[in-house]
Amino acid sequence: MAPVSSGLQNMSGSDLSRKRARPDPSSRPTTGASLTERDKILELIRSRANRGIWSADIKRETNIPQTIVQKQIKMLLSNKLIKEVTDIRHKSRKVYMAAEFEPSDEISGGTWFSGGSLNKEVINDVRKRCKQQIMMLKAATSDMIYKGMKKSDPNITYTMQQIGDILQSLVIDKEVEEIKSTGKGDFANVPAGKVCYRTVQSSSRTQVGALASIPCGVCPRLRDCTPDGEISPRNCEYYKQWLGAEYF
Amino acid sequence: MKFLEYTPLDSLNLFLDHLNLGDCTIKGRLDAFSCKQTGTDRKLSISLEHEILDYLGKSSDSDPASPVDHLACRTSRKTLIYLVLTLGHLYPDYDFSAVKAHLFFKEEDWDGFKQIFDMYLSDASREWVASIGGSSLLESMTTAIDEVIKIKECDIYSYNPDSDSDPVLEKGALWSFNFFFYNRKLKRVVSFSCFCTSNLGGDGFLPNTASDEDDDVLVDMDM
Repeated sequence: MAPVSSGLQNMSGSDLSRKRARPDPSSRPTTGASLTERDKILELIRSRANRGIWSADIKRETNIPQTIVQKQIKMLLSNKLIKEVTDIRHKSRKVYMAAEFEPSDEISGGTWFSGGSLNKEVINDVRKRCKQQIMMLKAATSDMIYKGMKKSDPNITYTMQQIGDILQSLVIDKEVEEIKSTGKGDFANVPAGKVCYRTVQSSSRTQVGALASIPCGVCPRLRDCTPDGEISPRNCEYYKQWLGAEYF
Repeated sequence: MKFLEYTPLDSLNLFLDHLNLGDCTIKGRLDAFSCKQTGTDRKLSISLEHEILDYLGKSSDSDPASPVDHLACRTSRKTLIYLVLTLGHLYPDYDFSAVKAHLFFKEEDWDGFKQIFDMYLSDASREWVASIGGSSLLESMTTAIDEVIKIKECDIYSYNPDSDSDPVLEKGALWSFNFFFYNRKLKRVVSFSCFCTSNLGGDGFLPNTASDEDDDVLVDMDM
């Protein structure tokens, strides 16, 4: 150990030994230069809190070369001071976050994502519950559906917004119908004019119009068809198919 | 995978590093690697092997003639792992999954490579002859690569990733390609990666290549 310099005479012997003796538990015996670099990197990662930081940005902002950054990150990881996280907006990027933070919704994707990919189980579960509510209530607003879900399972933690998202996805998948209430019949519990959800009714499915259900209605050769022409009802292939071979 | 220094590749890399062709810029690089693994490589190759075996285990119940069948062979797995490790060295800021990467690698032959070369690098070739002279870009490249790795003994692979796994896509590349020459006997890989960005258009047309941190500049401002 180096001799005590005169500048330190004011301190008691025990203070000095405390200051000198205790090693930094998070470092391995190493040169002063790489300690500073590791601190720089760790500080930068910590400053990004729950947003995390991409390895390329670490290099750019600290100006530390790739091999050293790689080595220091490896050490920080093994000392569990930082962790790897996935940013779902840039899935294959190497993104790091200080151990004490949890990824923000922005980079984790929020409730519907887990480990960087869509959590299908969770989503299907919520969809099922929404449909259950809608079947029970016949026609309901998202508010009513949400309240109903919470009643049957107080443990759910979804927000109204999230339930709204799921209902929209059900509408797009045509499993549920979004419609304005008439205030009557099935809609008795919903004020007239308010948007609500109900199960898909077979009557609301598009029905084929009369003209489209005969071959002429959808024929691409309609304009060229004449009674005596090359294309005529007499030799029409589509009618042959539609009426069956026995009629031709 | 250890980087190998080869001076014949250096002059090509110098030429291809930032080749301004007026309305676009080409960035290409040739890298040589030995399949000798570093400590980090070893760890990664073990986890890659696990990833592949897990995947094989799951897909053994699916259709009999699946494209993953050849991965049941250890040599194929080793090749895939070397290629993925090489990708990791070329693009150290990205993670590559073996299972995904395996779908993006395609076996090629020399003619396939030449076709891609002629398609994308004809302007670059003209530049090469004009500024450096001597043999054509393709000939110079072939000679240099051959010196490192004996092309005739090589398996050639191209890497064509989807948007999630493409590090070059973020740079707003107009086109890109990646070729790998693998000589099993010599235990060496030479990679040739190339992409092209436009010199035209303002920043508004390119995806945000800087970190999203730039958004935070506004956070503390009184707006």
